[in-house]
Amino acid sequence: MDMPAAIDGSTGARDFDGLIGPHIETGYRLAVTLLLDPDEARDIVQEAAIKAWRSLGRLREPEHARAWFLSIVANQCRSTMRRHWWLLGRNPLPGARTQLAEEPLVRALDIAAAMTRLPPDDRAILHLHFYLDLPLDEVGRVLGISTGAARSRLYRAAKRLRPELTEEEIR
Amino acid sequence: MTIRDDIRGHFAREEARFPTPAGLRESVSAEAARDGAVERRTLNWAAVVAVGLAVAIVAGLLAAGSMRHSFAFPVFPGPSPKPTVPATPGDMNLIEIDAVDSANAFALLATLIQPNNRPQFWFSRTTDGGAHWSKPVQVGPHLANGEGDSGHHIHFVDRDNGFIYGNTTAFVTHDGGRSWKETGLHFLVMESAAGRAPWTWAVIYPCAKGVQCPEKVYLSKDGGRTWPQSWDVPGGVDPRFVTAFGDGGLLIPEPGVGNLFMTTDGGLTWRSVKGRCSGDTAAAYAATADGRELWEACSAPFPDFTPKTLFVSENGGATWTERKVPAGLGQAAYLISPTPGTAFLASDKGGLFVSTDGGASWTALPGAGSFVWLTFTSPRDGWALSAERTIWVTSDGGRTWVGLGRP
Repeated sequence: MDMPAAIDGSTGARDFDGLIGPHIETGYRLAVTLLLDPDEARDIVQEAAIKAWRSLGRLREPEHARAWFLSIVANQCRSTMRRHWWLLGRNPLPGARTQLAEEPLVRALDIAAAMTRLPPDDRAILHLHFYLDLPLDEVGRVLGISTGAARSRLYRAAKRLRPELTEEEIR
Repeated sequence: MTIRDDIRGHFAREEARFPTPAGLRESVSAEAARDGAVERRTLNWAAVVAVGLAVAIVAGLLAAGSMRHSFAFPVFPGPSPKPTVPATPGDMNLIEIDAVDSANAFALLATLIQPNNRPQFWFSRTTDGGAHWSKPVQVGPHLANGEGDSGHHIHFVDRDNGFIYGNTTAFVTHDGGRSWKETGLHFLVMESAAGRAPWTWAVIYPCAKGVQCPEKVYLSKDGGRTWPQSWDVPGGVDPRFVTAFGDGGLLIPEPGVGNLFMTTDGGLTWRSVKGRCSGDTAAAYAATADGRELWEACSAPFPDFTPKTLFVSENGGATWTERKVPAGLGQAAYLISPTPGTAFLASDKGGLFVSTDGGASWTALPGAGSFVWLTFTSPRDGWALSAERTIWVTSDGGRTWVGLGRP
């Protein structure tokens, strides 16, 4: 297999740390959002890192390393969620306990409950765009969809949280 | 407050509630480097320098004590001295069931231990067709860190001998579930267990984490007490979805093109049957009752696991006939052929379908649940588990099903 000189085998560890290392914690947060399970997320990000290390030679555009690594994390999460245990036996994480005043508390609990009901990919798109501030084209790369599809999915997911929203309010 | 503020606030609270583990980047990077270095050496890709670099990194981190868990086969602590015993099985999550005849069935249950919903597994059984269930028995210790809550499964080969397993843990019973101990197999991951007495099959990943090696099929003929025979599994097959059939038959499908790795003579000979899936299928669902009539349903490409195409061979895979797939199936599908000519196709959506003409036509069975697993212990008697985790039984070959509820 041909590997670009910049990331060939002799410098793999150094390049992995430089290209992927800064995004490992981000990958972990994305896995928690998708799986709602911190323990499983830790295992997932480890597996994703191993896959990324093995495939580093196929990363042709280092400037897209974050999207590339997060897409591996997302695919690994989807694969995990297909397993029997996830389909049959999972309970949601315990409900959030906050110290907020009553009105913000109700609002926060509403959001938390609604977020739990969202499909994992919808949670991921909200996380990537609104929390990690990824532009929509990068969100699309992570989730394997077009920028246009990312935009419409973002709108749909946000509408599920706040049905009265207009598209302008989401931008 | 905007929707953006709401969402940012939510994820910030989640991050505070479940903070990123300290040293995550360092430990993940080191383990990836080590694993990658091992693969490169195996494939003769990299220069010695790369391996040395990775080993040096790992050694340094080992010295720092950050990766102690990664290099040995798992060592399990003893059973919890004071397990929290739920009042009744009804307080637990029903994970899976298995059955060996119309009277004897076995349930894998779980409770979730805080923090982080860590599961503890329990076992219960019925000897009267599900009318009564035994008091749950704890199986294994609370899971160790790193085990997560990976999928766990139950399989019994007869009334006495059975397994509860998943990821790095596997326990065996030889007394009908009254007591459980670790299996005698040496593995990193136990992928699946299958077969009815005397045939007991187990598929495992035998090597330490980071070491590349083929998965192995092990065979026991004494209920899992000894495992004298084993074979390498070809790369690419999905060892989680094995089908045992007949007298010493085992079938393992491969996603993608749907090739089937199988034996019909207790492992004396193995062969690979060329599948008919399109090449990018996310899942291949395979079934057979005799090793000659083969059923294979192929899903759409990843991440869609819904069965889209179906092929049936009546000559062990030499030729295939394409059949129609019933409409409306969901992603958690299950295909089983209890007797030649007959197959059931179920899913978490779309109900249960049966074909008695080799797949030429399918009939929806009204009243059945959305089954995600089913088995037949005789041509007439069967058990099923629905997506809602209720148990169903049939005594007329699957024509009608009766819901039993839960243990």
